[in-house]
Amino acid sequence: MTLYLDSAAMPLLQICSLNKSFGDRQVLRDFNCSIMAGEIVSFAGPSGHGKTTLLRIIMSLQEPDSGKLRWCGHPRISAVFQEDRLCANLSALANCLLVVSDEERRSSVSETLKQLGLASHEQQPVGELSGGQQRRVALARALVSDYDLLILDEPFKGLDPETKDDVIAYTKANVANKTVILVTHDKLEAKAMDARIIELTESSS
Amino acid sequence: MRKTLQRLAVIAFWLMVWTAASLCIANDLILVSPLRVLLRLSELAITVPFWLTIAQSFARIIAGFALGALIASMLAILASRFSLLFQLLEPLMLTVKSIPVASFIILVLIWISPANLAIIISFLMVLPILYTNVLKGIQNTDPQLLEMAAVFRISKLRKLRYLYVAQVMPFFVSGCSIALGMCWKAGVAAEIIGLPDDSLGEMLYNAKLYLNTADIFTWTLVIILISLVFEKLFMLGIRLLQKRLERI
Repeated sequence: MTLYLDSAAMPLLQICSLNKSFGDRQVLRDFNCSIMAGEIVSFAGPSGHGKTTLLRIIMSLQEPDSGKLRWCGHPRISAVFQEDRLCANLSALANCLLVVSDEERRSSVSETLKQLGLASHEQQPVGELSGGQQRRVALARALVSDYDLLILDEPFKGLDPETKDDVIAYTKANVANKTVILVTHDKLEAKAMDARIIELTESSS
Repeated sequence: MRKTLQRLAVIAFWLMVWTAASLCIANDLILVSPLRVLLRLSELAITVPFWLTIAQSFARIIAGFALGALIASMLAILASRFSLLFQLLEPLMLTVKSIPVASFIILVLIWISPANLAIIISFLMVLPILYTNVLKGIQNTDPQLLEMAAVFRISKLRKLRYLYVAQVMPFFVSGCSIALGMCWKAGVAAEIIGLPDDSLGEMLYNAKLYLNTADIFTWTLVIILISLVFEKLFMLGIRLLQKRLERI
């Protein structure tokens, strides 16, 4: 089922004049941008410039002070959060299966874990895995979920350089024609993902 | 293996202390030896009334525990959702927790027959402990995991099974461990006062009435053993259930 009325002409998401403050500190100031369906966008900028806040607003986990989000349809969202947010007692496989509804996609979970170098850790409780392995499980969970918009908040942090290259390549191949919002401090990661970079500067935060 | 040996050594040490004390006192009316208790236990264990007595008291006390655990969990779930109910239950649970068991036993004895007294008393011991623990577990559920569940549109049933159960279980298990011990103590105390037929309480009361110290020690040992064995089996059951629930 397609959710886009006319994905070629209309952006999947339009962010209009978004403002958000925490006490005296304004993290987003009159922020505007459009994200087209099938596009990979990277929000870049130093820490504290509202990147994660913006993602939380997009995921409806936080309300903006003012401004609007205009969606084309009701896209299903999948995400890698800033924290892994995994169920420590469940296995890597079970954490991924938790977000998969139909039987057909269940079969692809093992393959995704294998591709991310977690085949031998599939049945291991996530709490017993290393930080880098947990990050990959969080990424696998996001990739196997049925989504229209994938939100990735520093998805490659904590990975060693060699693994990171493989994981970026796999992620890129898996999100072809999908809409992705990536937050990263590393512009090389954004470039490797062929992302359009949107700077969150002082003027927007 | 080393831990088991250490535990056995500790038990052996206290048995030796007990034996030494009974030898020093040398009066079975005041303190019987562990050997005497074991002999009495072996005499009782081959009689049908012994097992009947255990079965009846066990059924009453555990029925109270199960009822308490069920109602406490349901109330905790509801109280976590409805703040009015939480406010209403707060003083009630505090009162139930503070009232001495003896007062409850005497009061309940006025309202119901002695046969069911242990069920109500066990229930009242479990209710505030498990209500508080389960509620604390629900309130401590990781908000980040709940946000994750909202973003991924995880169904309510899955959320309950895979997120809440895992977070609440440690609180529930520790509550059960405390509540089970309280149940046995209060349940048997209720039987001693209510004196239902063929109950552990009645056996203890009769032993005290006829100054049969060996029987007092033997029945006490029986109560300790049943409560320990049941607690171990119950915790094993909970662990197995949790493992089964965590399977996707």
